[in-house]
Order: sequence, then C-alpha cells, then structure tokens
Amino acid sequence: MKRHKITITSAFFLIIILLSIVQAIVSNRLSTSGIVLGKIEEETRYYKTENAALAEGIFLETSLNNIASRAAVLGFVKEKSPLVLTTSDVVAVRQ
Amino acid sequence: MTWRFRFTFLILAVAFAAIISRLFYWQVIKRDDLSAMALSQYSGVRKILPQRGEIKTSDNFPLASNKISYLMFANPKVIKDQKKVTDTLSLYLKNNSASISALLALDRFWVKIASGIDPKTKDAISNLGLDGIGFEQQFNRFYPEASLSAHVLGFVGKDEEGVDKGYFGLEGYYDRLLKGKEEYEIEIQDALGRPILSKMSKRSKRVEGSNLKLSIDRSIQFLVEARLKKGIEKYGATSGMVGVMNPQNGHILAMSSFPSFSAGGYQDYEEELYKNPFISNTFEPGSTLKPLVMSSALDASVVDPNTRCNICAEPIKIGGYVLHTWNDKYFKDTNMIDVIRRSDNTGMVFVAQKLGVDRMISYLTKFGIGQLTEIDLQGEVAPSLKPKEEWYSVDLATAGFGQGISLTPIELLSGFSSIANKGKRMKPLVVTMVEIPDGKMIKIEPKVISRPISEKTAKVMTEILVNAVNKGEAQWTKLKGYRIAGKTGTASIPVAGHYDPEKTIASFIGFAPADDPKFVMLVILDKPTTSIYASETSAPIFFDIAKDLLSYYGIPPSE
Repeated sequence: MKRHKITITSAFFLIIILLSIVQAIVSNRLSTSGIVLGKIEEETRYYKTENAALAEGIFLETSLNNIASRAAVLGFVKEKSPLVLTTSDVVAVRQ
Repeated sequence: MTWRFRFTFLILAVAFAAIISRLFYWQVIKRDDLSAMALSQYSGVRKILPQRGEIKTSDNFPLASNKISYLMFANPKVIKDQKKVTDTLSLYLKNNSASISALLALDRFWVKIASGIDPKTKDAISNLGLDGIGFEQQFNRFYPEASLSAHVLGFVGKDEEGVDKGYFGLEGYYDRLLKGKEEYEIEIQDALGRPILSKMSKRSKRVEGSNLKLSIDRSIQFLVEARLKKGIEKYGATSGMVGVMNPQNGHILAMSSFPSFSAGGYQDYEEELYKNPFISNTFEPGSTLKPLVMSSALDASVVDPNTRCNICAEPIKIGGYVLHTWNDKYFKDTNMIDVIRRSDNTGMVFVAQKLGVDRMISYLTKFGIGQLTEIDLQGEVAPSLKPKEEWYSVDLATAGFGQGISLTPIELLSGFSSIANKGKRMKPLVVTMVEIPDGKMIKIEPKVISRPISEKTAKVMTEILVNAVNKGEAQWTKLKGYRIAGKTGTASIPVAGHYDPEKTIASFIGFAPADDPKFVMLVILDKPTTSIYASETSAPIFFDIAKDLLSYYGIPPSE
C-alpha cells in the first residue's frame, strides 16, 4: 500500500516536472519567435517600400506627359495628314 | 473551550470572507480596468492605415496612385541637445529652424514635426540616430499623369478631424470605397519594448481601399486636353470644355475643362476651379439643342424632313418680342433639312409651335433635360424645366432654338447621344469596374435610362445632321471622306435681363462615324474673341479631335 502511494506521488511530481519543462521550451520558442517575426515584418515592410518607390518611378517614366515631352525633345512631330491606304479594285472587276 | 474555538473560527471566516470579497472586487468588478492597465504595460497599439484605392484608366494605368511618405514626430522630453537636433532637422527638411525649435520646446511627449517626408530623407535622418525622433509611415496621393483629368478625379484633402477625405469628382463620389478601413493592432512586448508576439490581437480588421477602373481612355484624354488647350489659346476664349462619350454604352472616354487645377497641389488653386464645369455649370445651349427639338417633332410626326415652314419668310413677332435668325437672312417655305443646315431660328420656332408645350416638355424630359444624368462624379447639378403653367408662347418659341432654357453640358451630351444610339439614351458612366481588396472584380453594366425617340427617327435625324456638317456653316472645317453628324451652336449669354450682343458660348456637338458611331463629342468655348461663331471656333476643335480619334480607332474614310 505504502509502495503504491510512493509510486503515485513520484508519477505526479514527474508529470509536473515534465509539464514545466515543456512549458519552458514552448515559452522560450514563443519569446524568440516574436523577434524573428518582427524581423520578417521589418523586411517585408522594406521590400514593400522599395516596391512602391520603384512603381512610382515606372509610372512617372511611362506617363504620357513624360513620353510626349521627351518625344518633342527628340524631334518627333505629329503627322498632320494621316496616310490612308485605299484598296483599288481587282483587275477582273476593273476592265 | 468551545467558545474559543468558535471565536477563532469566526475570526478566520471573516478574514476569509474579506479576502474573497477583495479578490472578487479586483478580479470581477475591476477586471476590465486592470486588464487595460496590464495591456498598456506589456503591449503597444499600432494603427495601420489602409492604402487608398487606385484610380486607373481603361488601359490599367493609374491616374491616381499612392506613394509612401513619412510623418516625423518627436518626444521633446527625451531630447537632450535641442539645438543640435533643431539644426540637423532644419538642414534635412529645409525648414525654418525657429519653427522646429518652437515645437521641440513644447512640454509634451509627442509633437508632429513634419509630414510628407520622402523615404530617402527619412533614411538619412534615421541613420543619424537622433534621440526622441521617430517616423510613422503614411500614404500620400500621387498622380503620375500630373493634372490630366483633374476635374474627373477630384482630390484628396482632410476632413475636420484631419483624416483623408475625397472631394469632388471620383475621389468624392467613391470616397467610401476608395478609402477602405483602418486597423488597430495590439503587439505584446518584453520589458525592453521588443515584440514578443507580433499581432497578438486585432481590435479591428483592416480593409484596403478598392481600385476603380475607368472608361476614360488615357490616350483620348491626353489628346483632347492638348487640342482643347491649343483651341482656347487660338480662339482667345476665357474657358473651354470637351466631353467624349461612347453612345452605345454611355462610357465617358474623355472629359476635360480649362482652366483646371492640379490634384496633387489643389491648395494652390482657387476653390472655383475645383468644380467640374462639364457637370456643374449650366448654360443656354443655343443651336446645339435644335437636333433634340427637331427629332422630337419628327418622332411625334408633327413634321417630316420635307415639311415647309410657312412662317420663315421674315422675323417672327411673339408676345411683344421679335425673333430673328442669327444672320438676319430668311427663307420662305424652307424645309426641315435646311432649317437644321442653316440653323434657322424661325424654322425652329415653327417646329416648336407644331410640337406644343406638352410634347416639348415630355420629349425634353425623355432626353434627360432638367434631370440629373446620375453620372458617377460628385458635383452634378441639373436645373429643372419650368412647370407647364410658366411656359409662355415666347418661351416655347425660344426653347425651339435653345435659348431661355438652361442645362449642363453632360445633360446635352447624354440627350444627344440617343440620336447616335438608335434612340436609346444610356446612363453616362465613368467607372466600369471596381476591384475589391480580395481581387474580385465587380463590373458596372451599361444601362438604358430612356428611349426618347424611335430608331427610325434617330436615323432620319442622323442624315439631317450629316447634311448640316457637309453643307452647313462649318463645312470648311469638316473631315473629307468621313460621314460625321453634327451641329454648331452659337448661344447668346444672358446678362441682367438681356443677351450680351458681343459675347457668346460657341459649341459643337456631333458623332462619328455617322453610320456606326464610336464616339459622340461636345466642344464648348466660352466667349471666344477671334470670332463669336461656333463654326469658326469650336467646330475646328471638334474636327481636329475627331480626326485624331478616327485615326486612333483605325477607321478609314468611307466616301
């Protein structure tokens, strides 16, 4: 009876110790994952900012205002009378 | 012995009850307060602003986008060397050092130093590692095409609480969709303020702003603006505007007015310029209204193209007024085709009288005159038509040639487009698609809002208008080889109870190609000075733009 009681008490304490170790490990992991997540977030933010800055540059370069002013500097002028190609009748019909 | 036992038990029971009640007080009654206190010690609340939605043209190019900028703030209580910080910041921000110094002298934990700081400047200042200086990321509106279609876009300003808010145009009309919803995020931190668990909980979910895809064609908008600016200068007008619409679905392809403003720097312009005159200004249209009145009369079968006008041989006297033609030339027994070709006011008085007040009001209403077109832009107005009892005989007569009746350019464009679309009037649309944050696209379908005239009447009226272009006053400027339907309008401007004899509103409205219209366009010049006539001012602008559009659409000449 006494031996049985000792076994139960030992098992009880063992479970407590095991659970404490598990909690310590999990807490340790959680506490460091926050910092890792923070770094990842920081990196994501950096790339988002870079991306936005690059997109801004692309939009400015490809805007019609920019293209038109550069075309004018390069000497491109608008064709005043557009060339229209009209199809002539085929020989068999023309006669 | 028993009483001692009982006494001790009582003391212990009272003490136990006291502890329990105290615990109940802190853990149940004061739970929320304590939780909030604890939260403030081990966490920080971050406000994450949503990105405002983009506004894109039909080719998916953003007319309004966002760029990242930073708000710089300071905690004056932790800044030790205020002079050094002031000098450094004023150097980087190119700001007056006195204003920065005054801000840093405040007895506060948080003061805003500057906003709209670009990422490069922010990085340069951050690298200096100044104590008590921090940054908050924010998004600023950015317009890659600068002032292109500023009146259509509107602008983003601040409301009374300093929060971004859209005003006028699309920014105003679709503000709720564009702005999205901000998010508050709680971050758990360790004793040194480092994040332990990021995004521990969210007090509200962020919703990014929706993107808008427009019917506005960037190329057409660009060339319309260039042609309009040039035209205003060439003809010495005080202002001008152009609207281009696809009559088959009501899509607005371009809408431009000058003088205009820059949406990015709206603060530098007078408030008067914020309004889009194409939807907010009213004018007496003059002869550009004649096609609507004539097609009403044709549709009601009170006249046909060959009907002879028996009152057109001389000026017409009505209710004490004498009504003249624009050039004081009169043509006895002229037919309806020539009435439109010559823009004959007496002929239109004849038509209006044949139509009568009831039918005039009914048809104009079906053409959308006197009502909002419900275009999806903020700031549209529409003066109502007079009630029937207030129409005198002279009002009916002058309405026939577009005087004494006020409307907005968009009302006229919308009404006229039904002639180009087999008698069906479409709801004018600027936004064709809404892209919600999860990537889903919601298409906005074209809608028929009325059928003022039959398809047959529309066809007859189109031929009359083609004839007006080919043989009318503006024939010198027409495009050779193309069938274009159109009408000039030289409207007098009412001033203090009479019409100004020297100033006019010159307009031209038309569509092309006449047999399968790709666009309907209205050009308006306010008070041109080189000539008061539309045939010499707004008509050449119309045909200049039409030439570019036909070339853009790859439509070859048909004649």
